[in-house]
Amino acid sequence: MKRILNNKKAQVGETLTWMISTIIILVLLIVFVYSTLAFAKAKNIETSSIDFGKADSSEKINWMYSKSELAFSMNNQNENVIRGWINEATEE
Amino acid sequence: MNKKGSDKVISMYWFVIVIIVALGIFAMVYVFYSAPYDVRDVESEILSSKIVDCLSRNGNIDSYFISGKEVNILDNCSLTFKVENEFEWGKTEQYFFEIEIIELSKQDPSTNILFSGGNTNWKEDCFIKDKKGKEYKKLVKCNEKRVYAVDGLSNQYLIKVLSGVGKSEKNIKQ
Repeated sequence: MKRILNNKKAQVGETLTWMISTIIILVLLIVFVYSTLAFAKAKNIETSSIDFGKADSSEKINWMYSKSELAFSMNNQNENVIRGWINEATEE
Repeated sequence: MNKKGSDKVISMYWFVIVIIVALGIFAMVYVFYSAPYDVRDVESEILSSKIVDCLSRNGNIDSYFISGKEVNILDNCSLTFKVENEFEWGKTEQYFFEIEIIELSKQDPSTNILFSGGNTNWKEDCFIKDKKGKEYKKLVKCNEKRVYAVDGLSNQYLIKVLSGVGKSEKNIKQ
């Protein structure tokens, strides 16, 4: 009996390796599936990723902002009040 | 002979692992590509931008909109609210807009010029937020634009445009 068990040592070791590797594979798969689920939920295209002309984006030409600027060039009375009112929308 | 048997078992086992990995990859691809892109935020931004662009050109408000006459914004701004005939969208309009034109010299809010169109019942939904201040995903996505404009006589006007897009059935995974 002892001799038979001694002969199986290599097989037991191999099976253990496979069992552990299976667990690792399964755990990795579950992690990947869940992270894919999280990525899938975040598939939103938001305006923050596209420049539509926020008043504070100084890098690009902002046509929405330029509309108000053109109007200010024609009549700039109450400029601070108007700018404050416009910025209320961007802050919200 | 014994060794040959164990090799066969391991190759079977290996085959099972390959199937599990393949199923995992399939699940990942399916989960990712079955989720729709939510483009309503951009859509409502485009809608409000188009309306603002129509009302104010180069900082000048079109006198037609402040004449006091009844104005059809959709026709005048070349907009249409027709949508694909899915999810019974034909019965309820999936867009709305509300325009408020405030003449700065007039302090009385009742003199403000108002235009609206589409499914304005959704307007209230724009302001509903959860406890953390986040918008609910399945509600309408709204966008507000504010610009300053002057008329031909240099009278000052503040233009506020609120737009919203429904279509949650197609943009949010149900």
